[in-house]
Amino acid sequence: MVKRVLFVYFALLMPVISFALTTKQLAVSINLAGKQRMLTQKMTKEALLIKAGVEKEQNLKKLEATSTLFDRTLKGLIKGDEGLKLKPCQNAEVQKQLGVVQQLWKPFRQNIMRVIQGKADARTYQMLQDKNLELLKEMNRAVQLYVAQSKEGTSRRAQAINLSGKERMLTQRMAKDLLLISQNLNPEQNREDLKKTMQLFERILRGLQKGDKELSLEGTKLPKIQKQLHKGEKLWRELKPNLLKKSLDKRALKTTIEKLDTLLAEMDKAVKLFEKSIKKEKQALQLSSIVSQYMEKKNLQNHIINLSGKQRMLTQKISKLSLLVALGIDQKKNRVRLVDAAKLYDKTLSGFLNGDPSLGLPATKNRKIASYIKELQKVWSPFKTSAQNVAKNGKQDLKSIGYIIKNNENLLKMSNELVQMFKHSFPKQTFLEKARANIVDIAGRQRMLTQKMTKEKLLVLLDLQADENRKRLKQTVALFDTTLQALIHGDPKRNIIKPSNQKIKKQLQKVAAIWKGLKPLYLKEVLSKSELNRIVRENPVLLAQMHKAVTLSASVAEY
Amino acid sequence: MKSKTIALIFASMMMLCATTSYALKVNIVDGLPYVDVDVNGENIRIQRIQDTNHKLKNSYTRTSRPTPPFYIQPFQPIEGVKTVTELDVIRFIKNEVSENEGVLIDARMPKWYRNGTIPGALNVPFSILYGQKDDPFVEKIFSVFGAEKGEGFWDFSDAQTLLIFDNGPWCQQGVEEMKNLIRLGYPKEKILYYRGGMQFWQILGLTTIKPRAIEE
Repeated sequence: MVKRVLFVYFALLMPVISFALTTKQLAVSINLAGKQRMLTQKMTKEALLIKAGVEKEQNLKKLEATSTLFDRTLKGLIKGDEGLKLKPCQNAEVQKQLGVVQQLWKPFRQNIMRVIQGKADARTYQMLQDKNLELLKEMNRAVQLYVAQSKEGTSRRAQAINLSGKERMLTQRMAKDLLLISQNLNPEQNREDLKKTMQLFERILRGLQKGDKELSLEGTKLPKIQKQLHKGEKLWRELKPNLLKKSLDKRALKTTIEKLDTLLAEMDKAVKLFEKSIKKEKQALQLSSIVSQYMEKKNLQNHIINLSGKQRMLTQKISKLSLLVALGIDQKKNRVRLVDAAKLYDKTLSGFLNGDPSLGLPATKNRKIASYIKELQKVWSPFKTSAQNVAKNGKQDLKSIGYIIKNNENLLKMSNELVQMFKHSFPKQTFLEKARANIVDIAGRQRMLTQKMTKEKLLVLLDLQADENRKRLKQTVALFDTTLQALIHGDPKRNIIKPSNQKIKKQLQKVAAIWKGLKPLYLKEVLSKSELNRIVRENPVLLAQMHKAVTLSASVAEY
Repeated sequence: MKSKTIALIFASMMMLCATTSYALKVNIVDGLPYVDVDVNGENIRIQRIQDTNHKLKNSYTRTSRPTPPFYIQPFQPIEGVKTVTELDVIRFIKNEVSENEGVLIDARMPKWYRNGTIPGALNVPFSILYGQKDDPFVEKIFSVFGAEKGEGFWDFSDAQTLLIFDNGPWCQQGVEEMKNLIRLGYPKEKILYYRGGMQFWQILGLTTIKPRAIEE
């Protein structure tokens, strides 16, 4: 319990986790930077199609659009672009890498422009051929840096988005390689590259479907995505034989490239499905984190009410133990218990004011409560000294015992006032929360009554203000008795709901069974030594069982 | 031509076999035996319990709970907020939730949610929304739903549609959640109420799950 509360304590001290736009912006940047990789290959492919005279006009338009998009996105990644919903990345490493891409892009773009303007010569195409993979590589490095910034970098499901995104690029790379080979430009090297690209494409596709440990892919379990990937696989099987052919005629080349474009579109659909699925998972994660922060805060409030309620019990326990010492009952043990009880009261009181991680208590921020605790400390201080004196000197210290007997009711009253102040300082409670808090408070008060009645019984036995204490004892016993019945059977007038939870019911029955045996002894005028011993022995058991009922009332899902 | 006809007959037979193999004894509606839901990357199939002798044994067999607070809720507790049926919930999961346009919300407290919920539902306990517009929990939740914070106002144009449920017609938690959402400005037309809740969902033998903790 303490560990859990400690966690709550530190969790609340931590700055609130923000799910603001940064996550969203990062996702947009990763997506668009990832798309840039594909654009490097698409541009090169379109330039080569123009060179080969395949649908020249159409490809000129496409090339212009692709290069403009690449340029705009790159600028957007560096400086921001409202239309693309891009914000500049503040990370120095990313900015530096984007600078590297820009340096490569400048001459690359000039050559693309030459193709668009119809001024391209052999050197132009050679440059595009030589530099497109370098541009792709550096762009890919930028993507990795973006991914490293987000938590997604470690997620296997995010890896599925990354690699299915890469498949889009690979379709364009294969098309480009095919064109380079068909134009006899470095055919050996490009065939080798095509082979590697095909292998990689195939492996990723299989990994996305069935998993691949080395690629950190777990394989999708979602039928919708499986169906989409199957579509891609079918298309891949259709076009693969053409890619393996040594040479293709113009018509076959055109068909193959068109099919690669269709494959790009199908893989893009798969990426979008992965993205949707991850977006949903992220939303679930965010909500679950918010709700657990909220629940931790709520638990802390219950914890404070519970601890402040326990203080009431300690005032009576200290008084009871002092009287047991005065009566010479179990002297040694009760003197130690007295010191412990006083220490706990002291530590908790100071914890409410200044915070105490070991009790899971933050310092109160409520000025009114803080000032009340200081008042309470003034009353507590001489009481504590008296308790310490009784523990030290034993039954002969009548002055200290007298002080405790005289002042314990006032300390109890003030401690109870602190419980009420805490209770009212936690606003916005629902009907159910209010009802539950009321039950925790009332059941918590029962703990104190167990100690109070024992103290009063001992005062009667010691003939100290016997008549008054006999009267008080009767009242305390009656209050404990009626409250226990109300807790068991419910009492709408006192806003006590009848418990329907079996565990609570059982626990209250346990308390009732112990109480049934003890009640006549508290009310009996003259007690034998064994009867007194039974009260002394069983009173802590009654307290412990009542404490269990309080804890259950505060924590079960259904009261 | 002949081979084409054979292929066509074969394909038709295969399709028929596939349909037959998916037919269940207890269906959701005619022609709809189940719906698949993506729950954090896992596929969960929503269907009805196939044992026609099955009876509920959990706390949803209880007829009476003390009042207050367990009063019977009206069919439409908030004017302007549509009350929906199980079939609407299933359609919502299949369409809006699948496309990230809507969120199915379990308004009960987390322990109840963890004990069993409708597949695909996310937990937003009703008591979390008792704060004001600037309450940090309210702000975070609205952001997650896609609302954008402006200068002193919330823009809900891109916010998701919320389908809210709780324990059932005797439970006030879902209604409290909707009231608070509306008080905080969430548009009524983007809120739906499944009054049947967990009790009716289970009475119809529909699939429930114990949500797993999501790993980052």
